[in-house]
Amino acid sequence: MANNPSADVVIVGSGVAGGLVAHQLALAGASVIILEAGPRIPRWQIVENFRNSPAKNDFATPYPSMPYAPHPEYAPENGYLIQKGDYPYNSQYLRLVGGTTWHWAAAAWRLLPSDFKLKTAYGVGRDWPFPYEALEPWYYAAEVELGVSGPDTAIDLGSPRSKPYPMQQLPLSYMDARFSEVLNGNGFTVVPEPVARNSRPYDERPTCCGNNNCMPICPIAAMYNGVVHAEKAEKAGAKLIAQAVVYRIEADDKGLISAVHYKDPSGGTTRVTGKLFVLAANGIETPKLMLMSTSGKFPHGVGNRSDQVGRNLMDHPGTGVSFLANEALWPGRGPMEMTSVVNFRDGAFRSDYASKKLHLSNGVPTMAVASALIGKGLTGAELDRQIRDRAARTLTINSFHEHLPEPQNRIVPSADRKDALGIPQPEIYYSINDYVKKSAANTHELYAQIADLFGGTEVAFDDRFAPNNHIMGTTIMGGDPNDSVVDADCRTHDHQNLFLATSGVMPSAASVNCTLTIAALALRLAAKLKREL
Amino acid sequence: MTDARTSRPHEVQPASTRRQFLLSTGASAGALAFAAAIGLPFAASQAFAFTPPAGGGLDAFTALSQQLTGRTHLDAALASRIYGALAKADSAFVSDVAALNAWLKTHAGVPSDTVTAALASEDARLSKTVGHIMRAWYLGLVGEEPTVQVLAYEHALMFDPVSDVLTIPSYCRDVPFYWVQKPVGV
Repeated sequence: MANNPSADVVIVGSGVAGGLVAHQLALAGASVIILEAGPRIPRWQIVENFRNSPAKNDFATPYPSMPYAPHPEYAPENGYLIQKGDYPYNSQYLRLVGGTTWHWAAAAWRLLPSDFKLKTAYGVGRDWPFPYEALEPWYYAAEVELGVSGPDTAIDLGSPRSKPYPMQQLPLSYMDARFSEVLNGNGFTVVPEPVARNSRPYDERPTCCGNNNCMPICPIAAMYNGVVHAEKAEKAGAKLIAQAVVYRIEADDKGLISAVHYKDPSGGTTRVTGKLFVLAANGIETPKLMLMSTSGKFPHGVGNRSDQVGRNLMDHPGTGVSFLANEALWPGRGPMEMTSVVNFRDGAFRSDYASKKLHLSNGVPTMAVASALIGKGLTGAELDRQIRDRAARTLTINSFHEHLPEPQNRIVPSADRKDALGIPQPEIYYSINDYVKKSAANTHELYAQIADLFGGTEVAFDDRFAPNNHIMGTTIMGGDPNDSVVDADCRTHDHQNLFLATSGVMPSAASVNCTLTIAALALRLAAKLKREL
Repeated sequence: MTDARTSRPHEVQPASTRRQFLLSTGASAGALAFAAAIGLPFAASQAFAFTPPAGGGLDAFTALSQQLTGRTHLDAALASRIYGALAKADSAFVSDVAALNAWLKTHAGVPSDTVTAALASEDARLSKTVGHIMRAWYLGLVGEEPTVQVLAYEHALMFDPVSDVLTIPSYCRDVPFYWVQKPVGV
């Protein structure tokens, strides 16, 4: 095994997608190898890294980028993602065992039925090759696996359910309850957010106790992280090899994938063979790897007959606002995010501008507030007084706007910039179109209305488009092999035994966090693979 | 000093001693209530005769820090670490401490909350040094990117003014669902 590892199923990536597929197949009796580029870091070490970080508002700092498996860093910037487009795509993701859901808000939304037929309903973007109803059972399965708490059926989230959430919703914080009370009935619909966070002991993990540190690290594992299923897969018999950076996919002349090749941190190479291969290395590293894997038979890379690999990059361009409310609401009690404004997720306007979700931050504001006041030169009792006053009244709202798949927004392996192992860095071409900009202008107005409802002062808009690390579209799914990368089963059109488990396959971005959809697609894929063993 | 892991308000003090915080209250009543809320004696929030040790050693730094932070007690070990780090980062820091103490002594009537503004026009450098000291105590940070040192987190002073209501992120301050309750004083 050491020199010629081989398995029924070889999976590249150990995040939520790779972990779920590995776990399911190991349970089914398959031999499984998981290759993870990054290191294994225990939770306690990540917590210590956070507490010792000088840049605590940068959620990546507790997860140091490794020279052999770099990921984007911004405090300070490491230049891993090379920006070539109109608009910088300063996305984050993590490379370590467990993947990027080590830090997330745990928002576990389903898409809406209309999100699956954007083209048909609104004449923009693309349709999925199957309807919402086809994914509904897998959404539920994902909610059970991740442990999702959510509102009871009296609250309509727009995505029909066959069964209630596995856990009751976490009770809202005082601020979130008050926010809902003030906004509902005033042109806004605020709902409790479904979250992969425990409202009771679940899956041998504890109830959330409000450490308010979901991002960058839940210290007690009350919130789901992908490492849960990476470790479950190992317990079920899968072999997880960390620090194994896959740099080449080997296809035979018939188009079957015969092996993947990885480098260890010192540059030593290993060839791993198998029957079925699953790429689950996120929406940037997955297409990068496919595009790097050129050969005489596949000169444009693996799975790329359509020339769509790496294209259609989508995220949820976000804008924000913060203001001082005229009453003490005390954000920061409980988990970091609990409610969302959902009545702009769908409507006839989508033929004209982007759908969106707005969400209220329940993060502890103490550090940001104190930092700003010290910057203004405050000292003594007045400093303490203002920290308390502003911490009690600072509200921050952010948004996700729906991005459409556009071929010019893409990621390619750099021709000249390489990491320490000689592997090309990702080069990003990204732009924000009028579909998003028009919606964001409307969002700005909505922010002003919300601030008004709270008698807001010092209203500070942030109209720059922030990426939300929801990397979608870059290995897009579709029925036509000429304009898509994978079919409805997440099988690459070009290679019978190569499958993708990543948000890269999503044909529409919609306006909600993509993790639950990744998980649902991964479980659906695992069921398919079990039949192909 | 408050320990983040045992700072449940209902264990630390009985409800009857918890102070109201009135958002719109100006001046005295609010200031006194607030000083009490974070455990300060009333005098600490008011101007008082300032008699710092001469020179720029650790004791002088501690006295200066007490004046700038409006506190009568500061953690001695942390004071030593901050003093060491600031002195190492800036060779003029020791003399700045002496100069700031001298300035405060001759401006005995200047309460700590207006120090920076008062200094800014007289001595921009000393005003900046005040900022470095405040950042070290409140945010626990010394130095600039890419070599910022973290000297404190749990014990950084920024958390004191809200310790009866808000957690220090990553620590659990109370039982699950405590957040449903309306915070005291709202």
